[in-house]
Amino acid sequence: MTYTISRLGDSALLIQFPNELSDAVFEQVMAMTSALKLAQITGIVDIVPAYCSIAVYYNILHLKTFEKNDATFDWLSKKIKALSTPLLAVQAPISRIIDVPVCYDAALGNDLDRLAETHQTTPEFIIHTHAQTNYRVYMMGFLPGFAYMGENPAGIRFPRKGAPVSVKSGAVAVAGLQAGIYPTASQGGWQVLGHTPIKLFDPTVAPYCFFQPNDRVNFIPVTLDQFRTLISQPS
Amino acid sequence: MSLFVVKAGAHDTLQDAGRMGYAHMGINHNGAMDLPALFTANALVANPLRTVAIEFVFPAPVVQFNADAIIALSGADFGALLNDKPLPILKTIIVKSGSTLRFSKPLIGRYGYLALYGGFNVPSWLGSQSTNVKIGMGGYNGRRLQNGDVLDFITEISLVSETKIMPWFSKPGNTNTPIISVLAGPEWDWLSPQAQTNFLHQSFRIQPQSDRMGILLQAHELQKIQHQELLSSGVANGTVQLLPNGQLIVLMADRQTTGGYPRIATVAGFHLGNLAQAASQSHITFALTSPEEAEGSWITLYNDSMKLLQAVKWQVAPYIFKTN
Repeated sequence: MTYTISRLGDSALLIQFPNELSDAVFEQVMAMTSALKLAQITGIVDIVPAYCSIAVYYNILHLKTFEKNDATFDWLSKKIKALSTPLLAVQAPISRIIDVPVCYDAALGNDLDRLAETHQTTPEFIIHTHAQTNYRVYMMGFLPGFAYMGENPAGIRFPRKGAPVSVKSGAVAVAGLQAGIYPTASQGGWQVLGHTPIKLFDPTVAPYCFFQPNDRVNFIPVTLDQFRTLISQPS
Repeated sequence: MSLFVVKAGAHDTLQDAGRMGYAHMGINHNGAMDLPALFTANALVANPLRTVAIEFVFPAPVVQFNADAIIALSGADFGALLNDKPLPILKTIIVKSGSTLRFSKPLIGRYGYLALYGGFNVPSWLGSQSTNVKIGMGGYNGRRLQNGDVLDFITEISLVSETKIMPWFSKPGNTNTPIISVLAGPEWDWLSPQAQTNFLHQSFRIQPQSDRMGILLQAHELQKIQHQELLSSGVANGTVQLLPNGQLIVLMADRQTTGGYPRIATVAGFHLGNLAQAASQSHITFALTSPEEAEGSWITLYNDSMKLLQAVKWQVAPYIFKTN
């Protein structure tokens, strides 16, 4: 396992694997994340895995009470490097397969026509390609419940917009290799292909987020009528 | 037994030390912009340091006390007036029911805090009472305060004194420090050696668009030598990101949990409050500090507040007749 550990300020550190979007690197991220959780190192308050890195947040006030000689970062780095190999072989989170209904109808407002025109293709090709791709959730971030997925096949790797615009809750979007869904209305720079009726974040009910890392996601096209029926039903 | 918002300010929210431990779900940290100021205000009213308080900017709110209260103001000094008489910040104040608190002018700083003995009665969400305005959770109904809001007190007290400014005080906090200590970030090496030197020697002007999400800095463009795209990855309170246009943003309390721009540095925790309080259009410079100093200075700040809290506890006790 190849990684480096660097400071992310005085209360966090970053475990960095090779900067690439690949299943091989992501398996390492998941293994290390599981090992860190299992090790239950005192003073660690949050562990945030990403595509090829893990941010570890800690409370220096807590750690300093029993580790007076070392800088906290050095002490924690040693702890992380010492995680034994058997621990790193622990299982990744289960891989759930989730079908996500998407309405690609222009009536909801999306970027399909403009993308088709700019990139000499058709809305039908973009929809077909998006709906035929098996995605994997790599990480949660940006907004509560926002899942970063990958990776888009060639043909729908559209660049981000020049500046963020208002995006509706449930907007299904892509940017470069990445795909995602906006759980709430937000400013966003990704290209919107369609909308899902699924509620992706519920602050009142654990586990709050619809997705978790390592989920496998298929986008299932639905009509505008189906979308309206689904969105009116409580999930 | 409450505080009535006669006239809301530009951005008044309830904030404690923030919502820790849910960034892996994309849930923002939130919390006070100037944490040491929150600690100080709470210490002055004998509260646990992380107790929720009202954070406000200028124009600041006008509030009326519908019960006896012990309060303290910290952070920004906006020329507070209690029943039209000047009220200092960084003091413990005994307030009789019916009093009105208003603020006259922005003298120094950007974020002020109003702490209340016993705290405000707002629900906790995921272990924190901080307001997340974006998703409408935490604090007072998940939003900033509006005219007519009523904030209930947790502890009912009767005071054996008239409105009074107590003689003890806290030393001034995070104001007017234009030199901000940083630690090198994970992508520090993405800057050219010349850009690294520039980062540590040029001064940066604070842009007016700066807010609780981040502080935007205007600077001469910093050149990168590494041009690969960074995949999205965790960020921290105080992370300094280099934007594609060569400008910088320092991520603050309402930051998103992950980001894709190079993290060239991180502001040391003990100087984050100073940066939060720096005036719009004013200039700051960055200086590298050592991890030992960063950790040590933060612990000193915290311990100073703890000592103040212990002292105040004994001092206020004789003034309070608890009715519940």
